[in-house]
Amino acid sequence: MWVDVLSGLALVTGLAFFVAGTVGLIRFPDIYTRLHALTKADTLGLGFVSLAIALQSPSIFVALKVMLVWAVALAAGATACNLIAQYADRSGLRPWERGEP
Amino acid sequence: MRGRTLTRRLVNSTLTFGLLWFVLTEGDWATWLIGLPVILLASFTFLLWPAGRRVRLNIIGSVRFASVFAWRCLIAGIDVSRRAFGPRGAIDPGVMRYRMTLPDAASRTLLANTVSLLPGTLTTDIEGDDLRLHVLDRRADVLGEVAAFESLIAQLLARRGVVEQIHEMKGGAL
Repeated sequence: MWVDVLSGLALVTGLAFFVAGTVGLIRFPDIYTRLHALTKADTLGLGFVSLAIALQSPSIFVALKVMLVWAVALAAGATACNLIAQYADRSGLRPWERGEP
Repeated sequence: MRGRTLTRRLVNSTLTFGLLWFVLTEGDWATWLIGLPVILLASFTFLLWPAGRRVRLNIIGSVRFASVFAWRCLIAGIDVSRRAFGPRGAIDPGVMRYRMTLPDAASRTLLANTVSLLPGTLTTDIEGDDLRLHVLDRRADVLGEVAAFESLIAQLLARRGVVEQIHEMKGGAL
């Protein structure tokens, strides 16, 4: 019973972070700030969703597998983010600054 | 010496891939009929990868890094979410540089990747000894946070002397 409540809370929290990441993607002004939103909010959101699934899993192995998926997504997310930022930077895309439209 | 390094890498990678197989197959020993050859093949492939500087994980360092990192990830997510919903004035982005003290490529890569998940910082490039960062808010003490994580990574990978060096160089500024 308390496991259901805990995993439900984790799921809702995770989804809230996904929504926030998407809002950031739409509302932030340039590629760099949008990467901030996606990398941080979505990784955290996936972490909470993974936790929710792990709590509901029938065996410890399924829970471990789900957490493994999250760990790989964490590494891949950070790496992909760095690659996109590096490409943008080397292409000469200037970051948005305060006061600009 | 080279033979010993090779043996150590073979043992370590076999154990790691074995553990991975064990988890992925949910502890079903019958699958090891296929698993064992696959694990050995994967370990052999891993040996073809050039050996970098020896990585020796420090247990206390690992726990400390993992817990501080998890906490800062949570803060980072909350921080960026708040700014996403807030007015445009909620961000003041810019580019900053950070001179790294960590000496080798492996620990520098770990730092570069870690930084992108911390509150308000994103690695855009590595230029020589400098980390090029995009920051979400120039008013925040982002360089202090990067320095703190550089010290945590030095402890994690048991890079002796680096921790002291970081404190010496940046201790006054922190």
